[in-house]
Amino acid sequence: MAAIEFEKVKKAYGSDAVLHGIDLAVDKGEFLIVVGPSGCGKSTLLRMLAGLEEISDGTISIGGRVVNKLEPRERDIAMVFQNYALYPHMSVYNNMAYGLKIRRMPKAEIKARIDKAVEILQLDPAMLQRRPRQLSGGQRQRVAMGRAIVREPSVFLFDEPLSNLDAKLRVQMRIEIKRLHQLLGITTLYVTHDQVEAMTLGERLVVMNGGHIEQVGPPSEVYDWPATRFVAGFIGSPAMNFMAGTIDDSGEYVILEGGERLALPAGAAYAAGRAVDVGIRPEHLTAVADGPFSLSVELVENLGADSLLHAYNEQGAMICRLPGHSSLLPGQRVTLDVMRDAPIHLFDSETQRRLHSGSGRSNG
Amino acid sequence: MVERRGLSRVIPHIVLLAGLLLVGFPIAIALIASSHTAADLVGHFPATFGSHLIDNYRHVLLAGSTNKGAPVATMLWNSLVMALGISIGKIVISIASAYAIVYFRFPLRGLCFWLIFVTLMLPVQVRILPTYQVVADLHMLDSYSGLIVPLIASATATFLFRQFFFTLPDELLEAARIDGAGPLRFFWDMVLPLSRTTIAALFVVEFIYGWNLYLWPLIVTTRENMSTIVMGIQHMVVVADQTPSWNWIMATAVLAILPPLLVVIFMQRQFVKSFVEPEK
Repeated sequence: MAAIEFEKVKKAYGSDAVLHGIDLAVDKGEFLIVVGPSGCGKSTLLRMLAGLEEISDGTISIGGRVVNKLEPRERDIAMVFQNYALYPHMSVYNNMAYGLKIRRMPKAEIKARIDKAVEILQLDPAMLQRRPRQLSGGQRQRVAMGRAIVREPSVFLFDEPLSNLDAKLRVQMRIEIKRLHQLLGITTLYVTHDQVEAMTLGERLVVMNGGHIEQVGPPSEVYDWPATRFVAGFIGSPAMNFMAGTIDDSGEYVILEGGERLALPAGAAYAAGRAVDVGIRPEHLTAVADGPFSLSVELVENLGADSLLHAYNEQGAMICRLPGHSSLLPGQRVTLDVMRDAPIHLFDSETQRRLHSGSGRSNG
Repeated sequence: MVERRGLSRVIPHIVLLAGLLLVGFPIAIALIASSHTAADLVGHFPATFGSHLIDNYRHVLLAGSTNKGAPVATMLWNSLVMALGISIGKIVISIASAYAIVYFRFPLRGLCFWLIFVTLMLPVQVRILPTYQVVADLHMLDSYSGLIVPLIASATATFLFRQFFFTLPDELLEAARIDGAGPLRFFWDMVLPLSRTTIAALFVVEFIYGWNLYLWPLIVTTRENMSTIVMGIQHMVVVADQTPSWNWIMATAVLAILPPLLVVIFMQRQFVKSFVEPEK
C-alpha cells in the first residue's frame, strides 16, 4: 500500500485553478522530490498534504487513511519550512518539545526523544538552552529538522528547506538530509526548485508545470528520457538546446530550420513532414572541424573541469559543454556536431510530447 | 559611533540641560511649596525647603485638603483603579479583537475591521452625551465600571496589535498548527508572549492616558469618594471664600505624578524595546 496517495487532487482559488487533477502515489520510505518553476503548484500540493490548504477536489490519503478533513496535527506529518519557522521566544529545547507537550507526552520521554534527535543531528547540547535568534542559519535549519524528527511522524515534508542558506551550507545540509533519510527511512516529500537538489536527493522525481505533473521517475531517467519538451528544458543546467525542424520524406532524417540534417534515433516510426522540436544537451555537442552547426562564439565560461561555450547563428543560440579549458575567443567561428552515440531528443511541436520512447540513440 | 568634538559635543548638553530645567523647575516649586505651612506661602515664595514636608503629606493623604473633599489616598486609589482598569481592559479587548480580525475568516470580517477603525474618528469628547446616556441607563454612574467600561474599546490599540500580528510570519502559525496547537493555544503560547513588548508599550501609554483623564470622571462621578486625583486637584484650587491651601495642593500634585512616573520608570526599557527590537 502506498504511504501517500493523491487521487485527482485539484486546487482552485475561486475560479483560479492552481492544480488540475494530480494523481500520485508515494511508496513507504521513499524520498520523493517535487520540482518545478515557481507558481507550478508544487508548494500548494505539499501544503494540501500537510493540511494547511484546503483540498478543492479529489482525495489525499496518508497510510491508507483519507485525510481531506483532518487537521494538520491529526495527519501524522512533520514539516520543515524554508524560513525555519522556529518559535522565536522559546529555547531550542522548547521548540522541539512544543508539539510533544501538546500531546501530553511525559517529560522523561520528551527529553529522551530530544536527546536522540540531538545525537542524530549532531547538535551541540549547549545549544538547547539558546534562542533561535542566537543561532546561525544552518543551526536553525538543523533545529527545525530536529523539531520534525522528535515527532516521529510517518511523513516528512520539506518546503524548499535549503533556499535560505548560503551555497556551502546548502551542500552540507543536502548531504545531511540524505543521510537522515537513510538513517530513519521515513517517507519524505521534498519540494524544491533547485536542479542539484532535485537530481541528487531523491529516489524519484516529480516534475510539475502549470498545475500538472509532467513526468515522474528516477532522476536519471527524467534526465535521459524527458517526457515533454518542458521537462527537457527544465531539468539540466545549462538547459538543453532546442531547434525547430521537420521530419524528411524518408522518415530517417530531420531537417532543421537552418538546413542542417540530423539522423533520427531508431526505435520509432516518424511521420514524414511532421514539425518537431529537436533537443540536444550541451554536453552532447562537440567542437569539430566539419559539422552541421556553424556558429559564432559569443562567450566562453571556463568552469575549471569544463567550459561552457555560448555561440549563436541566425537560428538562435546554442550552448555546448567542452571538456577542459577552451581557448575559443568571442567572435570566432566554431563548428559543432552531435557526439557519436549521443542521444537527441524529439518532441512534437504541437503536443510538446516526446516522440520516441526507444533507446533514443542516434544512429550516427 | 562617530567621535564628536568641541561645539558639537557641548550643544546637545546645553539643549538637554535647558530641557531639564524647563521640566524640573515646576516640580521643584511643587516640592518646596509642599514642605511649608500655608501661611509661609502667602505673599512670597520661599527658596528653600521648609520643615512641614511630612506633616503636609500625611494630612492630604488621610484627611484631604479641604473640609469637604475626600482624602487624597482615596482619590489616588480611585485614579489607580480607573487607570489600571482602562489600560488592562483596553489591552485585553483590543488584543482579542485584533487576533480575531487577523487570524480568522468570518463573514463581514472586513466590515468589522473598518467599523472598529472608523471609531478612531470618534474620541470621547465627541460621543460624550450618548455615552453618558448609556452609562446612566445602565446605572453605572458613580462607579468604577462607569469610569472604566465606556473607555476600554480602543481602535488605536486594536490597530496597533493588528499591525504587529501582520509582521508575524505565516509559517509560525503553520508550524504551530502542525505541532497541534489550536487557536486558543496558538494565542496563549505564541501570540501573547511575542506581543509582550507591544503590550508593555501600550500599557504605559494607556495608563498615563487613564490617569490624566479629567472630563469623563468629572461627568460620571458626583460623589466625593469616587472622585479621581486629577479632579481632586481642580476642586482644591477652586474653593469659595477661602485662600487655596497651596502647600496641600502642591503635596497632592506631587503625589498625583508619582504613579505615572513609576510606571514609566519601570516599563521604559520594555517600551523602547518594542520600537527598536521586535523579537522575531
